[in-house]
This record gives sequence, C-alpha cells and structure tokens, in this order.
Amino acid sequence: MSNETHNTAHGHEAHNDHNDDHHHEEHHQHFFNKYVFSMDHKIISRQFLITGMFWAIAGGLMSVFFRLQLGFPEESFQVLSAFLGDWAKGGKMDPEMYYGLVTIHGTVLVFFVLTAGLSGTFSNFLIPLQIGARDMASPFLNMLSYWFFFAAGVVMFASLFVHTGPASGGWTTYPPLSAMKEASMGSGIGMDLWLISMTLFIISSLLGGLNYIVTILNMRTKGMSMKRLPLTIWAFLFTAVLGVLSFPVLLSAAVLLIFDRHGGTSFYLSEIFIGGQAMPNVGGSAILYQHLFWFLGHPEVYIIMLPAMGMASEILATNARKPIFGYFAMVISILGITVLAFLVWAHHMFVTGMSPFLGGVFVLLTLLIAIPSAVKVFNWIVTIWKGNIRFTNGMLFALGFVSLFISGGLTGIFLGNSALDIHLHDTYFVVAHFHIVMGISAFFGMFAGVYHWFPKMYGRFMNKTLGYIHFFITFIGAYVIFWPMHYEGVAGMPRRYYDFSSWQSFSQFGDLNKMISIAAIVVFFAQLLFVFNYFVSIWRGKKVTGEKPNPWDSTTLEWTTAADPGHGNWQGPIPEVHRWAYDFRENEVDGTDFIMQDVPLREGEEEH
Amino acid sequence: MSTLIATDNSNKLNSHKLLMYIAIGSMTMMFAGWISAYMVRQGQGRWEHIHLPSAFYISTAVILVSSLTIHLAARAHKNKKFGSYKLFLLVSMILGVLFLAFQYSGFLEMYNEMGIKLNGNNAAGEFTYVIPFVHGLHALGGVIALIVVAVSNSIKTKRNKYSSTGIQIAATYWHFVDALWLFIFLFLLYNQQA
Repeated sequence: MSNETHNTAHGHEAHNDHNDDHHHEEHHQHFFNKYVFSMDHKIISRQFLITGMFWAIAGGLMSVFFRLQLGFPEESFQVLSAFLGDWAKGGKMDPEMYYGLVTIHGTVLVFFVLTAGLSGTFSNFLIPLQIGARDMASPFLNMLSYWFFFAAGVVMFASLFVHTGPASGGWTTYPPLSAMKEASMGSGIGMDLWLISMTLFIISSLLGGLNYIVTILNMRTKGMSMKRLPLTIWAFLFTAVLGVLSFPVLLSAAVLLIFDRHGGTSFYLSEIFIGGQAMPNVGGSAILYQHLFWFLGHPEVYIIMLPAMGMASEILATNARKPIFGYFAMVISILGITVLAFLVWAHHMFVTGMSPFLGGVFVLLTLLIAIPSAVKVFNWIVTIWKGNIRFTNGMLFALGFVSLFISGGLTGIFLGNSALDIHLHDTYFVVAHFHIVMGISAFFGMFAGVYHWFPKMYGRFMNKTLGYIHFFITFIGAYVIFWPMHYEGVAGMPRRYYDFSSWQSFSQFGDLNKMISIAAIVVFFAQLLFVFNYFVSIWRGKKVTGEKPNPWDSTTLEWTTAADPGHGNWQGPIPEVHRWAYDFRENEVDGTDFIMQDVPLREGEEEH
Repeated sequence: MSTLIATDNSNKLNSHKLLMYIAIGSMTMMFAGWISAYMVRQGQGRWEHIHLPSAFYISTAVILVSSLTIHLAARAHKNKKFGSYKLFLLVSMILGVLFLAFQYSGFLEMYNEMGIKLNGNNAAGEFTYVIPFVHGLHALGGVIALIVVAVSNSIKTKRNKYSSTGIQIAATYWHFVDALWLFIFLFLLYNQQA
C-alpha cells in the first residue's frame, strides 16, 4: 500500500470523530518491522496461527509415535530411531521417552495449540475487525504477548533435547514426580524447562487477555453496542476473562512448585522414599497442588471451547443464511459457562479421598454445565433447521464441531458423577471424552475459522476439494480413533500405560489398539494436507474478487474493508453500525438475502 | 505509552486505566491462590505456629505512609503543582525502597534470630517466606514503575506535553500493592495466634 492512501485514510474528512487520533508511524516499514516485530493485530494473529500449526504438527507427530508403541508393542520401527535417536534404540521406544512424549503432547496441544493457536489467532484477528477498531488497545503489549509465547515455545522445544529427556509426569505435572528432581529422569532439568516455558506462556496469555478485554469494552465503533456484537466477540471476551482470572492461579501453583524443587520447602511433599532413602520433607500435600492446578485446569477447558463455539455460531448462521437462533440465550449461556467453569474443578479429583459430601456438591455443579451447553447445541441446531445451507469447507467443520461437541459432551455426564468416576477415572474413557469434546471439537472450530476467514487473511481462497478431503478423513478418523476408547475405558483399561499386552484383561484389545493407531496415522497425514493447502493457497489460491470482498455474503464488519487493508484496517473512516450482527433476510435494496451491520435502518424499519 | 491507539470518548474509562484494573484483578487471583493454599495446608494439620518478625510491623507502617504520599503526588500533578509533585514522588520512591529493605531484614530476622529454616518441615514458616517474597517482587515492580513514570513525565514536561494518566495508573498500582500487603500482614498476624 502506498503512503498516499495512508494519508488520505486518516485525514480529517472522517465524519465520526471516533478512533481518528490514530497515527501511522510505520510509513516506511522494513520487512523486519512489518512481519517479525509487528504491532499489527492481523500480522500477530498469523504469527500465532503459524506457530500454533508448528506445534500441532510436533504434538501430532508425538502422538503418532506413542500410538505406534501402543498399537504394535512387539514391533520396532526405524522411524522411531530416526526421530528419537538413543531414546528408541533399534526402533523400540524407551519407556521414559514414552512418558515424555505423552506429557509434552498434552502440554503443547492444550496450551500452545488450542489456547495460543486458537484464541491467540482469532481473538487477535477478529476483535478489532469485527468491533470496528483500528487495532488493539495496546498493540505493543499485543506484540509482547506473541513473543512471550514464542519464547515459551523455544524453551519447551529445547527441553526435548536435554540428556534426561523432557518433563514426563503427565501434562498436569503432579508432585511428587514434578517436585523431586530425583524422582524420575524427566523430573530433572526437563521439568525445570517445562516450568520456565509455562511461566512465559502464562505471561503471554495474560498480556493477550488483558488486551482483548480492554479492546472489546473500550474500542467499539459508533453504534456497536454490546448487544450488536457478533457472538464470536462475546466468546472471545469471556475466554479472556477466564484466562485472566485462572492462569494466575496456575502461576501460584508453579511458584510453590519451584520453591519445592529449589528452595527446600515442602508445600507439596511429604514422607517420600526414593530408592529406599527417606526424603526430609514432611507435612506437605500433593492434593494442594491438584486443587491449584485444576482451578486453572478446568476453566482452561472453556478457554479452549468458547472461541470454537463463538466461531461455529458465526459460521453456522452465515452458511445457513439464517439469523442465529436465540442470540441473547447464547450470550447468557456463555456467561453461565464462564461462571460455572470456576466452580467445578474438583470433579477432576473425586478419587483423591475428598469428602463424599463435597464430591456431591461438585457433581451437582458439574452437571449444571449441561444446561448452558445444551442451550447452545439446541440453538445451533435450530439455526440450521430449514436453512438454505451452503456446504462450504468452513460450514462442514462447524457442523462437525457440533457433532463432536454433542458426542463428547454426553460422556461428560458419565464422568461428572462421582460414583461412576470411581470406576472410569484414569481410564481410556476419560481419554476418549476429553479428546472428542475439547481436543478434536476445538480443532474443528479452529479449522472452520481458518477456512472461513482465510479469504480475509490473505485475499485468496483455500482449495475447496482438498478442504473436503481434509474434512471427511478427519471427521471419520476422529470417531474411529476415539469411539473404541470408550469401550476400553469401560473395561477398565488405564491411561498412560506403556504396554498392555501382558495384561490378560486388556490384551483382548490388541487388535482394537492396532486399528486406532492406523487411524491416527492416517488422520495425521490428512492434517499435513491441510498445512500444504494453507501455505500453497497463500500464494496460489483463487483470488477473492471485489473492492471490499465478502465471499460468504456475511453481515459483520470485517467484510466492509479491502482484502488487505494494511495496519489501521479501514482506509476511510471506520463504518458506523446500525443493526445487529445476524440480519439474514430479504434485502429489498439489492435482492440479496443479508443486510450488513453498517447499513442504516430504513424508514419505518424496526431494529431486531 | 505512545503505542496506545486511544479513543477520545470522555464517557469511557481510559484504556490504560482499565488495563490496570483488570491486571489488578488478575494479580488478586494469584495471591488468592497462595492464601487459599495457606488455609488448605493449615487445615491438614502438622502446623507449627510462628510469630511475625518485628521488621514486618515497621514495613507495614512505611508502606501505609507511602500510599498517602503517592496520593498527594498524583493530586499535585493533576493540579499542576509540579514542585510538590516531585517532592512527594521522591518521598514515595524512598519509602518504597525502605519497605523492601525492611521486608528483607524481616526475612533475615526470621532466618537468623527466629531459626526458621527452609528445610521442609515448617509449613507456616515456608508460607511466611514465600508470600511476602512474591509480594516484594510486586512492590519492586511498583518502585520501578514510579521511576519510569518520573522519567517519562519529565521528558514530557520538557516537550510541553502534559498528562497525569501515567502517575495516576502508577498510584493505583501502588495502592493495590499497599492494600495487598496490609491484607497479607493481617492474615499472617491473625493466623500466628490461632
């Protein structure tokens, strides 16, 4: 973009005095400032997305490796020794490395991919564009947020290469494995690096969250009242609130853990013997760590889910050509989920010996979450009911999201009951439940978002055919991988075990495990297809046409600006908003079936 | 601060101030984590009560006074009385450093005179080290923030620009650090007798 357009863009002919004191300091931007240390929220969002994709591939590859071990415990694979070196001598994975891979797979997918990669990408990209702001409230903090995330990633990646291996006590890093350096190989320097990485990540996520909240509350364009916000923005707002209030508690847990590791304290440690030697620590409580961890850990699930829900709402309404059903009920359910998210953490701890009465309270609160979740599902289904559905790639993934959310959500009702949880705790039933309901389904929300907003990000479409192939393999594959795990879990097969073949009761699942592993490998390669499609489409994709392209006939503000508007988002004044975000109905003016948010109300027209 | 893309709506709260309020909520949650850890751990027994070092009483008085001086500094800046602004800001910084010094001497008192070592069998003592320590990090951040505000305000004054937002935000943070310490102090004090 030339400097000339920049100047006219921010001239004083703008009729609304809103946001016009924005000045461009980057007229002559070097590559470095524009694409590396950028303060443009659109560039930062792409940085989050691409870094998230790197971690998704790394974390996915780890799962392929340990699925090889689980599916084929008797065999050896050259590919393992190629990647893992001495950790897989002769192609047979070392048990320590198996635990390390399981731990890092969980950590990077939960935090780096589905938190930073999902809400980092789309909160950054969509908040200013959809509320009508030139950028975030503080672009500088926004840039810092990405670079703290990047540093967290570097530290985590480095931990894979230390001689005692990465942290290996599970992604929840319960003490004593995480608190005593001598407890296992991964409890040494690997665990220290994990803690450093997570501390950096928490800072990144707080900086991002603060910015998102302030931007949404303070920087909306004229006419964009809270009740006219698209549901994506409501979802991002409550996601940020959850993060800002729960991540600090994880930090307090981590600080006490660091003191236990290096300060000689025993907050979490008591009466531990290692190799026959009694450790001096007495009186600490490992359960205390679990309380602090899950006070973040449970809201974290909704930090992952809410953005996917928001984007699915937007994409379903747009592609069903119908207003979202129950807008207000949707907002209230997001609020309800946010409040309840803080009150259910102990359902992860039913078997820690808590009082049955306390357990009962947490059962009740946990099952209450079914209400807002069911309201949302009902509204999504009614939204597409008798709609004029366009099966775009984004729409398919949004539909897949709803399907997976229902399937995974139903098993949550089983696990939320403490009586059933005593049997199901730490079995493959849990693995199946959370992978479907928050892993895969959040991934589907993210894919839906990428396919849907790719034209806004790069001014080009992703290849549709590859998108369909990607969808069907992933959708069918997800069920093939995780559905059978429910049966294994009901039979009592425990998670995190290295080899089941020597158990009489679990060796019957040998063939099932093989099938799951093969499906996991197929699905992994289908994701590479998506990555290929993404990067090739950036330069080779079909171009979006029009001065202000709106390829999906959507109503929201991000489609009222040029394909690549540069830093500042609108070349002229920021549009004013006159109506709600889901005005899908007959438009008498141009004969289309939607009216954009910046179109003034017509004479005699009543607002929704 | 120049990176802020500000909205000029007078009916809305300044974005940086709002940012600070939400950040305070976030920090409150972190300390709530430690305080509830204290209570949970205490409830599990095997708990030796300890007394607070006398230096903590002095540091509490110091930080309370500093809150008053920072308030006066912010008010003086708002009323464009730059002489008394500079004086009160300087006094606040000195009191902030004094607070940290007394906290440190409190730790030394606990370690040397009261014999509370970090050897893994005195949870009350461990919490009494850790919670004031992490609070001290926040107070250190506050002192640094005051220095940053002082420097940036003096540059702005030289360029004939005037804004009291910076000092107001720093004052808000400092009041938070003060109130937080008062809470921690009273909490620990209450629990030493219980």
